[in-house]
Amino acid sequence: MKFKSLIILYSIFYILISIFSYGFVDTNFPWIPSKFLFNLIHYQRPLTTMIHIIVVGVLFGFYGYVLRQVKNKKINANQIWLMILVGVVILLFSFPAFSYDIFNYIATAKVTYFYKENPYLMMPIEFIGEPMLKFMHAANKIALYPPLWIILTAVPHFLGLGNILLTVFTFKVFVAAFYLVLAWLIWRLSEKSGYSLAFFALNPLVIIETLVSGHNDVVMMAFALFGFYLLFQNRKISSFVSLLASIGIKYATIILAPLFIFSSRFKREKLITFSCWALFAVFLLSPLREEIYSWYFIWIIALAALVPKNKLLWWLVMGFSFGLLLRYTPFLYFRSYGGLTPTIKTLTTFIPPGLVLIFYFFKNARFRLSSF
Amino acid sequence: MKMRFKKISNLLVTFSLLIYVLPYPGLMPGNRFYRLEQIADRVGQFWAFGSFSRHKYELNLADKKLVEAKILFEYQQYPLALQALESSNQHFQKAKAYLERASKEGKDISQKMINLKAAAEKHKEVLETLKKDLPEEFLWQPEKKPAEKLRIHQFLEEAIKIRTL
Repeated sequence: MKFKSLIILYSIFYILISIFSYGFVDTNFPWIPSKFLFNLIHYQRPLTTMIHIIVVGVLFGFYGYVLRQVKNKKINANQIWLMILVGVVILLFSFPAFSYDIFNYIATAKVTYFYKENPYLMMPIEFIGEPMLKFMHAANKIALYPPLWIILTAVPHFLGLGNILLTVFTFKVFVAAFYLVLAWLIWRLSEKSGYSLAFFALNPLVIIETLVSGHNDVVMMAFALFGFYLLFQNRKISSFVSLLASIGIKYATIILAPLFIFSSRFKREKLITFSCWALFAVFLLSPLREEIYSWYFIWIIALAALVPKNKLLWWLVMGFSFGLLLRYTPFLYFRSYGGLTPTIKTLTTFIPPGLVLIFYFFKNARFRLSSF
Repeated sequence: MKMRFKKISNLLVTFSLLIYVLPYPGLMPGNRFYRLEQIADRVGQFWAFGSFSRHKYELNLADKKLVEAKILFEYQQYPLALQALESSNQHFQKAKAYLERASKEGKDISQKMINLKAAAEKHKEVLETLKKDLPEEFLWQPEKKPAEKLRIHQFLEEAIKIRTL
């Protein structure tokens, strides 16, 4: 397939995803763009579930095809950057379909900068008459994120000019900017490897969770990777400051602090691999706090992109990225978080990586046997 | 319409009163960490920026100091009890003032006002009980200072007055 046809297909598919996402607009949201889409998502549940599975499947099809083309040097770095930019531009206009976290970010920023209250003490629900209370899903929580994130959200909050639709858009632009920064850092850290760039930036889970849902994990990882970037330039103090900034966005990267402190004992690739496994451990332990959320896996993908030769990590990324995106299917079908939903979510999360691991070990064993 | 609103509001206050629970007192005077806790409480005011946050902070301290005063009265540590009650009074007045400030800022304070009224009623309940059990006056004789007459009932009545909204 020619690159031009590929990018056209890519764009069309992203546009379809963007349109599909508007069916997920909450009933109480001040603007419902399409009754047809709303009815499709809320009342044609089997069809919606099927569409979601197809979307995930097609995205992975594209992903696999592009990675192969990059590996065979049929797609170069500039073309990958073009695909990334096309994704950003189109999906910026999508609605945060699969998660309402972006509204929590907006509400926390509003508590801080509009109501001028401490978001660690006041919950959005305490502001009677606040229009966002009608449609946000976690109004009864104080700020969950560390202060640096709340400070940074001043930018999209003020640019949103008090308009909820514009604010959603400015928050998405803000997150997308960090997605681009993170992609650039991966590109630089991998010595301009197109494969590493595509591995991270075109991963369907990264695309859906960052460009559609607007999760802030890319912001945390951008600071963490900037820390690595500085560390490899022997700027230890600055690198630690950058890691601190990353922890100031979301606490997860605190696990990297010991590795940063003792970084001189490891070679570059080992340090990244250990960091990746450390974050993988945090990801697996996340049910102790709440549950495994699919966007947490962005932490691992960002680092695994820098060690593409580590096949175990490579297969794990593939398996989990696929499985985690399928976590939404039981909710789309049952429209309930109870009943069978949690069990199916667990199965969809762990069966694909489980199968992939079996395949990986089988392949490895065969390779070892054949080398005898 | 106004009468009906007042009735509903009173009903909500009564209901809130039923569920308004005073906290544990925290550390008591004499504990070696008591001063530290007081410093931590004072530092807390800088964290509680914003009229609602500050209202919450002041009301929490008003509750805490009232319970501290109650326990000190029960152990007949009257000067310390009166000090704690005075502190509770000040925090309660500030809690009210911050709510008024929130209202001026355009925030809807109706729910917080119901909570403040419930707190006031609960405080008054504690103060009335203390008034029944405690002497009207008490002659406090410190070791190296002249004796001092403590007008306990007068203090309690003043505290009740402060909490009458």
